[in-house]
Amino acid sequence: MERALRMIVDPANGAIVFPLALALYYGVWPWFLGLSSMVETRETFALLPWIAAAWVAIGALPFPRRPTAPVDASRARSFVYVVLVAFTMFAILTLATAPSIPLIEALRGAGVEAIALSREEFLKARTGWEAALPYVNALFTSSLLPYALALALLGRQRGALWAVAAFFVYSLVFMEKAFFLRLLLPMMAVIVVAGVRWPKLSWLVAAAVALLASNVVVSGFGANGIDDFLLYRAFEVPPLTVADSIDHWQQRYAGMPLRGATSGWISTLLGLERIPFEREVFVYQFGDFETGTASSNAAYFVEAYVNFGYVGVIINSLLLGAVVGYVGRSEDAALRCMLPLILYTVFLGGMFALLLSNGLVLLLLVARWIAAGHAAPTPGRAASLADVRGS
Amino acid sequence: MRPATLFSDTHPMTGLLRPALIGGVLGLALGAAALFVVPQQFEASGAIKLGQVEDKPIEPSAASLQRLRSRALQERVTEKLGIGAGEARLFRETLWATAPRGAESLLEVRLRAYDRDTARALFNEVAAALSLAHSEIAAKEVSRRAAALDQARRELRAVDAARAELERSVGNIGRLKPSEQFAETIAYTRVLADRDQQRVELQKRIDRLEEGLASSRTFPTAPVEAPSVTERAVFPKPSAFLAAGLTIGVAVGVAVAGLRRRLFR
Repeated sequence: MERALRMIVDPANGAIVFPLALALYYGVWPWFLGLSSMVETRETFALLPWIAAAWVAIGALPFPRRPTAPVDASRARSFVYVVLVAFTMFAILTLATAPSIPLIEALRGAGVEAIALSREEFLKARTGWEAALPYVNALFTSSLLPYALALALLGRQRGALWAVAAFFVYSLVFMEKAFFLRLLLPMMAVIVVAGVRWPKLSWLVAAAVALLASNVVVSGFGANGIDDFLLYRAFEVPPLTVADSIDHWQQRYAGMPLRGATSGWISTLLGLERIPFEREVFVYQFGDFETGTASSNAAYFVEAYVNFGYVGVIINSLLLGAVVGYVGRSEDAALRCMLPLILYTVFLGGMFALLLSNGLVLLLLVARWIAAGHAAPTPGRAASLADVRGS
Repeated sequence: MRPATLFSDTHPMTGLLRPALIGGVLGLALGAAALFVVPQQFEASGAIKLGQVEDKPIEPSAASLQRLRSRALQERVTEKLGIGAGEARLFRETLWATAPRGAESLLEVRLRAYDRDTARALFNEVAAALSLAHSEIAAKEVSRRAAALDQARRELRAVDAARAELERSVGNIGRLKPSEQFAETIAYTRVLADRDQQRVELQKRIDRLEEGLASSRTFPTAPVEAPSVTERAVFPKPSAFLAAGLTIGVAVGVAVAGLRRRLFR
C-alpha cells in the first residue's frame, strides 16, 4: 500500500499516473454511473477523456527525467520569506474584514445553509476592493505558498514546520471540505521526493480522510451518512459535473464554441463578454444560490472543449503534458513537489485559471529565477539541496 | 552533463517525431474515411406542452418523463410507424427528454433517426402517444366536469321555467279578493326571490365550469410547434472523428516507434 502510494505521488510518474487516472476515472467509470445526459453529451463524454489522456502523455514525452540539482539557497530563502510575510498580512486582512468566519459559524452550531453562505461570503462574495481577495488567495494557496513551504522544508529552513502548521490552520478556517489538500498534496510529494520513511503516506491519507469526514460533519453535510457523502463527492460528483457542463453547453449555447469567454483573462484579452460558465452549470444542477457565487467546476478538458472544441482539448492537453513533463522531471525538487497539486487542480477544475489566476505561470518563472541563481553562483551562496537526491 | 535536446541521440523524443507525424496523418485519413462509412443521424427536437384540466396538469412532468422513457410507449411509436429494428434501436437509445427548470409544464424532447423525415415522424408520433395517454387520464375528469355543466344548465332551465310560471301566477293575483291579495303577493315575492337566488347560484356554477373547461385552462398535451429537424447530420461529427483519428494515429505511431527502439536497441 505504502509503495503504491509513493509510486502514485512520485512527481516523476505524473506523465503515466495522470493520463491513466483521466482514462479510468472519466473514461471508464461513468459507464457504471448510468448518467442520464443528452445523446450528444454521452457521445462527447465517451471520447473526451481518452483524447485528453493520450495528448497529456504525448505532451510529456519531450521532457527527459533529470536528477535533482541544487537551487540558489539565497534566492530560495528570500522567496520563502517574502511569500510567508505577504501571506501572513493577507490572511490577517482577510480574517479581519470577513463578515463571518465559517469555522466559527460551524462550531457555534449554524445550519448547513448558514455555513454555506458564510463560506461564500468569506471570500467569493466580496465586493469593491475586497473582490480582489479571492484572486490573491488563489495565487498564494494554489502555487506560491505550497512551493515556498516545499522549498523551506527541503532546504531545512528554520521555522518551516511552523509555517506548514499555520497554513494548515488557515486551510481549515474556510470549511471548504478539501481545501487542506493544497497543503497536503505538496507535503506528500515532499516526503516522496526527499526519500524519507517517516511519516508514512498511508498515515497522511488516513488522516486526510478523517479530516474530510470531520469537515463534512461540522459543515452539516453528512445528514445521510458521512461515508455516503464522501463516496458521492469523490466518485459521482466529478463525472456528473462533466456531463452536466456539456449538457448545459449543448442546451444553452447549442454546442457553439465559446472562444475563451469562460475565462476572465482570455475574455478580457479578446474583448469578449465574460460567461460565468461554472456558475451557470451550478444553477443548471441545483438552482440559484443566495450569493450567486456558487459554481460547479469540471475537469480541465471540459473547459477546453466548450471554448475551443477538440482542437482546444488537444492543445490544452499537450500543454498540460508539457507542464507534467517539465515540472515532474525538473531538477528543482521543490518544484517537482507541486505536481500533485497541479494535477489535482486540473483533474477537477479548469486549466486557464490554473495557468493565470492560480499562478502556475508565475510559479514557473519564480522557479526558473531561483534555479538560474545557482547557475551563476556568487560568493556567499550555499547549495541547500545537495543532500536531496530523491530521484 | 549537458541536457538532452530534441535533436540529440539521448533525447526520449529522438526517432519518435516522424512516426508520430506519419501516424497522425494516417489517423486523420482514417477518421475522415470513417465519416463516409458510418451512417448519418439526424435529430428532431421540440417542446411538448403538457395538457391540463382546469389549470391542474393532467400528469406531473416527472411522471410524463417516465412515461416517455418507458419501453411500452417507445414500442407503440415504432410499431405504429413500422420502422426497422436498427432505426427503432437508434430511436430508443437517443430519445431524450427533460422538463426545463422554471417551465415544468413543458417537456423538451430530442430524438434521432437515419433520415430527416423519419426523425420528424418519430417526434410527432411520440407527442401523439403522450397526448393519447394524457387524454385517457383526463377523459374521466373532463367528462365529470362536462356532466356537471350539463346538469347545472338543466337545473337553470328548470328554474327559469318555474320562475316564468310563477310570474304568470303573479298576474292572476288581481283576480283575488283584496284581503287575500297582500298575503299572496308577499308569498309570491318570497318564492320569486328564492328562485332568483337559485338562478344566480346556478349561473355562477355554470360560469365557473365553463371557464374551467375553456381552452385557456383545459387543453390536451400537444407539441408547441412542429419539430425542428437538423439540416445536417448530427452524427458522425467530423471534429470528433478527426480528433479521435489523429489521437489514435499519433499514439499508435509513438507507441510502435518506442517499442521498436526498445526491442532493437
